[in-house]
Amino acid sequence: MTETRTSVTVTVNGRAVEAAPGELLIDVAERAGTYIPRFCYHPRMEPVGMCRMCLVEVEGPRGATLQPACYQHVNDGMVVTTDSPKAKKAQEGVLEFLLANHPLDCPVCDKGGECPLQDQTLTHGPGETRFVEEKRHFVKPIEIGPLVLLDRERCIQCARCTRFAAEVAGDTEIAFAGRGDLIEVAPSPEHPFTSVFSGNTVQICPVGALTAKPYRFAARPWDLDQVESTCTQCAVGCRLAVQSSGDRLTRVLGVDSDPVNHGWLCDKGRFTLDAVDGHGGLSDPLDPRARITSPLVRRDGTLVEATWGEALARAAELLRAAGEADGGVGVIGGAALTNESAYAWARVAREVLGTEHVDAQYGDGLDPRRVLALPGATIDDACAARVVLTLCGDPREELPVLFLRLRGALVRPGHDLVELAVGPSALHPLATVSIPVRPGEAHRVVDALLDEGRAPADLALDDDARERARRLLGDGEGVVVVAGRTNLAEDPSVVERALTRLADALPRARFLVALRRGNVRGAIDAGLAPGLRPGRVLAAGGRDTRAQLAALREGVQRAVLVLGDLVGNVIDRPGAEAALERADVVVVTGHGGATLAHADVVLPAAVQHERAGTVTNLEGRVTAVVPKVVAPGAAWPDVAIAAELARALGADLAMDSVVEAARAYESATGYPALSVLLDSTSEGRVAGSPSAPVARRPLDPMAFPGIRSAEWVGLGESAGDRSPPPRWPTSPRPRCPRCPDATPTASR
Amino acid sequence: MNRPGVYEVEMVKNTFRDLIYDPAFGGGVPGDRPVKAFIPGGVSAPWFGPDQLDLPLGQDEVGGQGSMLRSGSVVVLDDTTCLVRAAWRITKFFSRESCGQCTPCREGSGWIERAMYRLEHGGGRVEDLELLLDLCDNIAPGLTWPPQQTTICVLGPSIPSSVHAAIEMFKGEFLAHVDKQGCPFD
Ligand code: SF4
Ligand code: SF4
Ligand code: SF4
Ligand code: FES
Repeated sequence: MTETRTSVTVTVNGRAVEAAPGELLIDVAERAGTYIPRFCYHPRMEPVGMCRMCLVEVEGPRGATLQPACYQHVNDGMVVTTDSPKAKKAQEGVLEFLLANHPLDCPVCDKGGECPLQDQTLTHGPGETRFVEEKRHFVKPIEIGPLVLLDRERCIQCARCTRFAAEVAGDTEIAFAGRGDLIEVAPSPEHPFTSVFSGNTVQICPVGALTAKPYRFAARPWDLDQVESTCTQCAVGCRLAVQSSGDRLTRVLGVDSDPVNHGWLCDKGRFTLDAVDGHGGLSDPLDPRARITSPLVRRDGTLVEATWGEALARAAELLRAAGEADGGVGVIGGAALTNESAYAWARVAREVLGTEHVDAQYGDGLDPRRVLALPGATIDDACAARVVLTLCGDPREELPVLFLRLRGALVRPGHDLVELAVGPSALHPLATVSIPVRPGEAHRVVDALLDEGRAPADLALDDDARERARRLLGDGEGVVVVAGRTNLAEDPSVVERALTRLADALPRARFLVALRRGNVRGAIDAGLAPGLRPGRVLAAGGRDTRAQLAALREGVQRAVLVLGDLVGNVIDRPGAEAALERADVVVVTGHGGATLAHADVVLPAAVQHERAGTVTNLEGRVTAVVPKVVAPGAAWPDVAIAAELARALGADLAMDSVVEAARAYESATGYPALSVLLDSTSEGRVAGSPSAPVARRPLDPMAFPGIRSAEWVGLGESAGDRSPPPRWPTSPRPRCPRCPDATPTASR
Repeated sequence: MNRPGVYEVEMVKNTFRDLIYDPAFGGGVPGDRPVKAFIPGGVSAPWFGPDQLDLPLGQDEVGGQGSMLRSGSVVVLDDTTCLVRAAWRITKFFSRESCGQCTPCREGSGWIERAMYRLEHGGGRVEDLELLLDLCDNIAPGLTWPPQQTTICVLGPSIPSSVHAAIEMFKGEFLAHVDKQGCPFD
């Protein structure tokens, strides 16, 4: 009987190291504490062995030869020396070659101070250059896309960017052109580099050849301070590092979270920092780019600045009056909040205002009572699935990094995609079977797929495709359905019915529900959904957003508390405006927007990167968000606003800090919160699944060449390191709770 | 050659001398100039001197002497040829041939080519000889035959062959370039 080995022993610099067969030598050595310098190798991409920086001596039948460690799979008994004179000479030689044509730009280069080329020159390079010839020259820098600039003189031709584009994102917008030492990264002549993932190339470029417009010359890395947090631009919940210089946000970098984003971000998540400072201080409250920095109260038809005390009192007055009539008040919005804030607002709605009419979705989602009750799948489950069935909008547009993860799985053998094609989708080229679905017909197409016998002729289904899809789906074993709202014009019940049917017919299939707004899943879990109390406990009735807007128009509902920009996001904008026109409207928001044209009271809130808490991504994973900067003006975190509004209404939520709110949320729902908040750099926990300790990965493993410069800005954190304890305000309310009238300056 | 061309010869039976001088083959060097060096098998092969003219045309025979017959394209350099220039032109060829994937070949070929150009056209320094040999060594460690390589493919170790051989065999000619700050053959 032959045994397959589960582990092999490799000798690295005289030390025996255990490894899995087939692991890459560069990883095995690093785990054992031996850092081998590298440029082209990236642990999330296929190795190519191009830059030759990782040459080490490997014993073989013909004696020791130089081999690239990133391209060498370990086998049992392998003997490796990484620091022999021969290996060191080869490494120094490669570095000297790389520097030959590299310009002396360090003092003006964005990468200076966190540059793997600088760092590895110090650790593994020759001391001095012997190059006296003229260096290669290119026009510098050229714009290859709206966000990315390329300085070809600085490029070391490692192909990380082009490989990311081709291998990870599936874009063809950048590729190498030319040959020899005139080889250059070149944008496609037809398409500028407009990929929604373009920022990743900047992050993984090991030199300053690729720079991102928003960060160019904005800071020096040693001036940056950072926290690890979670992106809330969509429901994927990518892990990221938010960096600031002083109190000015400067940059966002992807953090490698194994279950979620693998270090990648989309450009929406990476480049939206200017929203936080109101695009340089815009102040028109109707402009969605502006920040609201003071409470506003409508007097004689115009919104004017007010104190917190005045604004809270007015808001309480309006809501209390409306709430006296049965069904007179409701809450809309909240998908952009933290779980703790959403929970606080859910309690304000239910316990203080006494209403079940709450809905975090603007009518663009699915009924959580139906879709979140389906057996759930994680992103990893979907990527491991034998068959992925999609019934959703284009994931590259709506949930970009989910697209990257799915694409990464589907390009590998053993994974099939059955696409219920509701429109153009970037996943389409990867589909094994693609079945066109016209708006309004998804449930009928699913029925026809699953039923024996002939399909209704009007669906115009291809029999062969139907048969192949049916065979692939089987009884649902190994099938993950990625399901979302396919079409905003179509009634959500179409998809809901299709999903219910799939769950009935494929009892073993699991569902990844792609509700797409930032923390919509967390808001629903926390109780901001009609008919779902905190913890997704079914309750009676409750109007959803559409029903609330209708009730407002009919005058049945008199007031609404809006958490966010309802008018700017809702599908039926005129309908929403007509509804708000008649109603008393209290808006809690960090940003301006069309909703404020109808607001009677505006309460300014902290936004992402200004507030602490937890969020829940589409698969149910709870991770922490950590504030990096202070909210502008008099803006407060939502937890504090909810607690103070409750107080103004005569109730005490007993949530005077985020920690208190997290503890209350956790004990009310059973979902993780406090533990995640206190371990804010972890990869989080999926409710209900055991929390396995996860070895954290460095932000970019290459930025850890063994010297300090990368560590200073926190880039070199390696697995096992503990970063300083997370910093969030111990009280989200820096102002005195006894005298809410005090303005921030007066109270300090 | 008096009769440059493509000849079919029986392996091992003939020598380089036959190939170069036999009227049925090369027919001798124009003007009966003496052979200074010859390249036995394509420009990626290390060079031979006149004392190796009697080697048989065989893979093992040539291989045993530290070069190769491989492509069988024999290049003869007579005493009017500047060997610095010859080695530079060969390096230039390889530098243009490099696909550019891997660093030692991409950057090494360009660097060596530029340094050789400088030597040939004035601006040479005595320390360039050591530098060139070391750059060659960083592409083909040990400058052994058969070569080792720091590159992905064997184009890499083809680069040092001519430069290495030229410096080893004709150091004086290099130094003359340095002394004259230009090519003595010009
Ligand atoms: S631009 Fe950067 S990532 Fe792309 S090949 Fe050049 S050095 Fe590598
Ligand atoms: S995919 Fe979503 S969560 Fe990830 S970076 Fe983009 S917007 Fe943020
Ligand atoms: S050695 Fe080969 S692979 Fe490397 S640059 Fe030269 S030709 Fe390309
Ligand atoms: S060749 Fe191994 S890191 Fe580039």
